[in-house]
Amino acid sequence: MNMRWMKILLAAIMAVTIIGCSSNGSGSSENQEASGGTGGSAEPVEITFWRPQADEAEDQFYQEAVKAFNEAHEGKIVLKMETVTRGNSFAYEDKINAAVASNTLPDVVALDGPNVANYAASGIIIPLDEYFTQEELDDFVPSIIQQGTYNGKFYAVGLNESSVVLFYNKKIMDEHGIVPPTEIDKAWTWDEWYDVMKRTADPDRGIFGTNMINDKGEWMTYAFEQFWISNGTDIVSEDGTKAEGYVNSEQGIEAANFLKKLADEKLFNIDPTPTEFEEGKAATKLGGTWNITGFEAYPDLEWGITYFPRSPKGQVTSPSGSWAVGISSNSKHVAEAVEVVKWLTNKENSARLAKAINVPASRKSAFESIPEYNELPMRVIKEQVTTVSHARPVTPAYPVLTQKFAEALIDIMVGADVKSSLDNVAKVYDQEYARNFAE
Amino acid sequence: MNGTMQGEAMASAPRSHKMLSLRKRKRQEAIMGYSFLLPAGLLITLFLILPFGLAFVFGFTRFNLLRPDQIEFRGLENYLFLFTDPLFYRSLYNTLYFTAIVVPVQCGLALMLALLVNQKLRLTNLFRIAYFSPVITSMTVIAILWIYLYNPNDGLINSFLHALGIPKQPFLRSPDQAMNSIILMSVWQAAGYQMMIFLAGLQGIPKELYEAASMDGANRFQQLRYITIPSLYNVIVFVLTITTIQAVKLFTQPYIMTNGGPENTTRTLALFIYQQGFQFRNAGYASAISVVFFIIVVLLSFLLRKLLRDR
Repeated sequence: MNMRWMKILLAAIMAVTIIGCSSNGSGSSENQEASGGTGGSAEPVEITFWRPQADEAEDQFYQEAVKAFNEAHEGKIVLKMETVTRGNSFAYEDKINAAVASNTLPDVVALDGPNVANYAASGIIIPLDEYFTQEELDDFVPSIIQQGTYNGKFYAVGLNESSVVLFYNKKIMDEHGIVPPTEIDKAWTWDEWYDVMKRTADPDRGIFGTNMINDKGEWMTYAFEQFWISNGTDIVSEDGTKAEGYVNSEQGIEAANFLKKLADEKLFNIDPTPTEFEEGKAATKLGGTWNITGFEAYPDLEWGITYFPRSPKGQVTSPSGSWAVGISSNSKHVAEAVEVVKWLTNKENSARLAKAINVPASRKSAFESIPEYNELPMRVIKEQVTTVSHARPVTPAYPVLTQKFAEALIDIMVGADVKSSLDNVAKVYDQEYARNFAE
Repeated sequence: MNGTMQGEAMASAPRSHKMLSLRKRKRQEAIMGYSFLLPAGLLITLFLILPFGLAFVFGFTRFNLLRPDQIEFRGLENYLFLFTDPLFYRSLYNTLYFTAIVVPVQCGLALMLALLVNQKLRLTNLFRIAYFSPVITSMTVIAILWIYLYNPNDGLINSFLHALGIPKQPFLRSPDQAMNSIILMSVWQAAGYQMMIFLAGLQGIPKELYEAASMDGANRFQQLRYITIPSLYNVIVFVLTITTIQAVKLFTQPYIMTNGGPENTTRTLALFIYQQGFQFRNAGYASAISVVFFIIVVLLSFLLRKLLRDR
């Protein structure tokens, strides 16, 4: 073998490696298409389902639900679930974006409540109104219908709800002789809550009045939009077209000023450790119901639940929202996909998931099968979810709204000017809406 | 093996010489050359040139990532908006500020460290490893660790300051300190890499030069000034160039530690592009920013080359 042949061989090997890679890739995608397309009459229909990875209990719930579904529909439908890593970021959403570009969305897709409008406006999920009777819809708590509806059509069904309540440390409350309210009409106002924090905060012992920063992303909008709502405004108009005059309205500025006051007086920790409240270093905690699971690891912690504090001038309100399931416009088997959506969100599954991960159910009927929710402290959660909770704004420009609102809140909490920060949110949001969504 | 191959090639040389004219052989060599270029060329085209070409095209469109079927040509709209967008200028300023501080500080520190660990002392290897270990740790991990170090209430750094009687600092939570805090961490993380390159350069300088210089009575500083630095000139140019390129791409640290805040003081161009393109799904606008960013980087590299050449 002379040198020339060596060279040719080498080049050939390199070329084959590359072609091999690319043909491998295209080969597998062809396979996928073939199996998606030929799932016809005699063979069972294959329905694909994507959802983001969650904690162990939730993942297990889904695995069991899928297994039960496949057993019940043997020979007719095969449900294939793919769990996508999410981490603490937008990896799942990025994967959806990529799938949209390449037309490879699964039949059934899990999506976070506030994304419904964005996905619906883009036409990547289909309306489900014709598949649900009014009676079926009436069983869902109002906030689930609210978050799943865009432009008058219903797109996505939540398996569970969520809520934020004010947890309190019983020992600290007892020390100061404070009795938190147990009736919704007596819920603490901001001023009453402020007094409680003032009395309980103890810098020398490292105890904060409250703990309310879960993360600095979606949590900020999810939890703190309620201060705007409770004060009689919101962060955007109801139709989602305008933030000017809402997020930076007088009531809005008042709400932000209240949060700023807490920050200025160091009543909460802007960078808390994840278990500050659990370790007795915070007298109260504005936290999600899912936090309850974590409390169980701290036997010394005696905790109670009271209502989300309300504006002195306004109503009690509380956050809501959850991951929901919808059907993609790529689906060729809508009828079967509807079966899947209905199965996943039925009363039994809603109750089962609620118990598994300590979140409120999305169906009124499911609450009946979880007696804990009829007594304190869990009764507070049920009352909030079924009567006063609000979904986040339904707008296709939500990604910009939540990012800018969260940034502004953090800026305000670390000392930025309230009015100019909120004005900037309004300006950027309105610009974004006008540029990309106003038609 | 090399030897036999050469022998075989030489043995066959007269035969091929007879069969092929010089021109033909040249052409064959060219084909051979291109076929070697093909794999790398394909990859570069596919993953660098093509995407950039697409970004250039998309820069003139309105393109929502979720609506790839509805790409609309909008002419210069994105560029006109870009030049009125205060966040663009803010991000550009932050990027340049970071680069302007990090490049000299990091390279200077790296050179000093390299000089230190180049000495024949005990435990030198230990120091080399210590300075280099942050480089091989994931930036994400380091960024998360430093969030705890920088914690305004009970972070390690504040505990030290407190013990020294200095009031607690807000670090990442203050518009005045956030970027500098990121700079400090970045320098600490990456200086070990440049140190390694400088160290390799230092060890290539002949000992005789130093011996001759000390015989001529040059002190340590003069040796550094007139022997070490000039001998390292090419290495310094290389290190400055790669550090600059890395610095303008700053993304991970602000993405993890501050998400661009507070008050946009740590928003860099890379983070701005990411948020517009992937979080807000404005692929058209993000493409336009990328094109402008590209032009800025090219200008910056030319400037740097010119500065360093003219000496």
